[in-house]
Amino acid sequence: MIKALLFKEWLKTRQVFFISLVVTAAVSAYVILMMARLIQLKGVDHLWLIMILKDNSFVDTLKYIPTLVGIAVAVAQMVPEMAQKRLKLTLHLPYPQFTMVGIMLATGMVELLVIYLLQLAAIGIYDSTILPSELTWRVLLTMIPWCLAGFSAYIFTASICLEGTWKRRIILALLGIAVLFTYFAQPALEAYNSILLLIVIFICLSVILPFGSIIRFKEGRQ
Amino acid sequence: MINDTTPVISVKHLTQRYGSGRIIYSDLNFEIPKGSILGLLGKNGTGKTTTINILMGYLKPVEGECRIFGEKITEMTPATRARIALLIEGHVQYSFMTISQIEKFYSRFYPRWNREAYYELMKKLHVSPNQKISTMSCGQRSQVALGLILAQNADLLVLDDFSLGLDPGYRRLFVDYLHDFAKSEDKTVFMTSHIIQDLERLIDDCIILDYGKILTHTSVDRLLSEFSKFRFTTTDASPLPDDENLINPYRIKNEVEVYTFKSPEYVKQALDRQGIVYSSFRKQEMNLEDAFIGLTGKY
Amino acid sequence: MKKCYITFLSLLSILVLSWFLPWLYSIIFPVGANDPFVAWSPVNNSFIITETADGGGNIHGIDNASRYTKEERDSLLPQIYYTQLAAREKMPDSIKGYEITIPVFKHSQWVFTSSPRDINKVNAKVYLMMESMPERFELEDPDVVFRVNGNNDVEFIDILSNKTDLGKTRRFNDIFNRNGFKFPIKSASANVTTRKQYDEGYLLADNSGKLYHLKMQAGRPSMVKIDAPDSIIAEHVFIMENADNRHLGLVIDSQNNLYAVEKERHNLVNLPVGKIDPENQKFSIVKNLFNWVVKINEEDGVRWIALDSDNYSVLGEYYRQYPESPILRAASFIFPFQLSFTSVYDCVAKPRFSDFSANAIFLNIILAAAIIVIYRRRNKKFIAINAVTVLIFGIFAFIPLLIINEQ
Repeated sequence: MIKALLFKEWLKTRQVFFISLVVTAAVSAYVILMMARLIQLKGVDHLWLIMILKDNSFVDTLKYIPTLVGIAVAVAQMVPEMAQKRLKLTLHLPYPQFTMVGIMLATGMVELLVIYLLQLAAIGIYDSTILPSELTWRVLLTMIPWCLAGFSAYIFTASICLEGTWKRRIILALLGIAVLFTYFAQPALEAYNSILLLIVIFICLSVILPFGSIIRFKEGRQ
Repeated sequence: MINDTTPVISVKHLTQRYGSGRIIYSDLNFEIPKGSILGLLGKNGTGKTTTINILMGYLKPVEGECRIFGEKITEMTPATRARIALLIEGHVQYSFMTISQIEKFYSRFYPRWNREAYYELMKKLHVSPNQKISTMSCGQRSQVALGLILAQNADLLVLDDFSLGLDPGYRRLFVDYLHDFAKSEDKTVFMTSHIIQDLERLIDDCIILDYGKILTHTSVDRLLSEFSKFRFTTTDASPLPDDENLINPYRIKNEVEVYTFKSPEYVKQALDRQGIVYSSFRKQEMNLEDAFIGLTGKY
Repeated sequence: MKKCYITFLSLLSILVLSWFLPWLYSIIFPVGANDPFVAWSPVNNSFIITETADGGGNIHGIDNASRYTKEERDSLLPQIYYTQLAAREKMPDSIKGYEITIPVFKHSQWVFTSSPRDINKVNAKVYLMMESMPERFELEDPDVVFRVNGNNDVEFIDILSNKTDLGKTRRFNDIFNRNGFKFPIKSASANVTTRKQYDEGYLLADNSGKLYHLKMQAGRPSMVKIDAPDSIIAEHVFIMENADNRHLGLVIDSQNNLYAVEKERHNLVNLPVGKIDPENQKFSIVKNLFNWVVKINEEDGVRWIALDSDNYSVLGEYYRQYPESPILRAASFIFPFQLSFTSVYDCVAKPRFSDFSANAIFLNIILAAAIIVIYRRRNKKFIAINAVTVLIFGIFAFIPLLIINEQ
């Protein structure tokens, strides 16, 4: 049954998953090409200098991509469930309902994880060939909060899509925007180092939101 | 313990309102025994879909208790859900799947899955197994939904307005298939439809809902034999019959029709008591739709 | 699970509002204070204060009694306004026995600023090393960085190859060891730029608070331990490469005392300006031929101290308290606290609760009473716990508890 559920989620999201993968890969490639071009023109020492002195990570173009990917995957996954109240079909399946919703969310988040890890790996591997590990990690640690923002974007979008009433949708959307804002409030490099664990805990807790939407759906708040 | 006499569906003291506003119905009680094919009839807004939503656990009633197969619907186990086939209004299915994908998907969940029943119906549709459901017509989609219900081989079928959006051919196909299936396998069916003609060919029993209450819960045969429509000619000026057993009297020029569970003699006595002068008093043949209109009124 | 959902949603709303509402308030009612420009006049030996709020027209002394025109001020502060004086041919030949010319002024002046934002920044954990004695005389961009390995030695990395420079690594480690440098580096300061006249490399504070001056000359290390009493434990170092070439940099110790490092003898001199906490206070120094004016932005006001540039003795001190803002006072009655993620004092994102205000309890009580009345009318449960929540979180809890209308 789990396989069948995963299959359903995969059917809904595979297109968006591949598009997201391509977009992420393309933007990552662009970022890498820009760095390579700068090295060609001005030398690798110039790149080091800019990174250390000007706090330039060269990956700013990637900043909002994980958030957009998170939103896209959630929409692809949850809108078909809510369109024509299809969620009724899903909740009627002879499988524990909350486990099923958990599997749905886990599928989406694993897809995001794959995309984000590939992105981090692409940048990390390229950077490590031209930069000392300190600077590579500096770039990665700057990117990790963006990826975490993607997970939050996913969770909030999912809970908005699964929510049946406009009033609560608006509340969730406003809260989501505020939460996402905090991920980008401080543009300095490695600014979120001290709260990465806190963010992960928050993301884990916020998974309750889509479940709340499901509970409300079952109460008939549609 | 559940035995054969336990009603498949039991509804006790059910009360529901729109949000915190108007009461849809209060203190609704009914039971559906095993093997019954029951239609829930009512005008728009009497709470047919609401009842189905409550029974399927997608709406929390204000008050009351509903059980299916003896189990409280709020605590329905997956195993019980496996015994219930559900058709959502509009034949909604996972339209992002293809004919074969959706069969494969559902087959994993139901131990009694009958693949042949599904594909037998699909053969009639002239669609390829790789066709996405979203690209199909409403009629074809209804057959997919029906095929899945038949394949699921559930003990209870809950169908919400199955005739919505279907042309007569598909409606007939749906009804015939369902009837054969339900009768031969001793299934319990609980259904609503806004086209009562369709139901007449299918259902054994009916519950007729009016705003806020159940008007009648009886077998269709009994309803049609005990409930009658009488027609007589009178003058323009004479009043309409006023008797609590004479339901929904209606006048077209000097022709008056009246519905009742009583005998023709009772009607005549009532007219006499009121001093209504009439002629051409006659009983008229009725089908289920007529009876429904008779009970609920045209307005 | 539903309870968890409602609790999480309510708490999240409270947190978001405790960030959003004060932020919105500060946008609608901006509070800004402009510090005046304060300088010490070697002519009449007093502070000259130029207010910046009204276009710089209001110029006065500390006592407010003496007021000056711009022309008068230029004459009182020749070390600053020498260009204007020269243009009006009002430049004196000498002041206090110093012969003065524009080049002399220019050569002897510098400005230093430090802000908590820079101090508290998460820096890259590699240090760029400039060549202090370049072959072609002109300074060049560094081609080597060093990192601290495992807190006991340094490793030099050649930028072009991204490989360890074994020779430099060995030579620099030797010199660190020879000078008894204790890793990790507590504070390091260098001006890595070619737009300066000369390079002094790094001013370093080691883990025990000892001070070192490290530079690379012709690819070889040069390290000098700075002479300082054991009682001084350096916390923050700031290198300076000024035109007058008198000072190597500034140091702040664990007691928040400020010192200058004199270049000639590599020794520390205490600057008697009181305490400076560079992690939380902005400070700046405007130095000229005659004096240093140290400005320290403290919590409630700004302090200026003028020092004699020859012997660092205090010439004068001026303190101005920030005016009390009615906007902020009103806010203290509305918001029981504030949440922010960023701060002007650092470049770090983290939740910070601040501005706790007892004044807000009045509003909190009213709102808690309101929630009791409203919840009673709505026939809702858990009135007590919701009222207590409003009593604690005030308006931040009142709004969501009113809107999230869930049984």
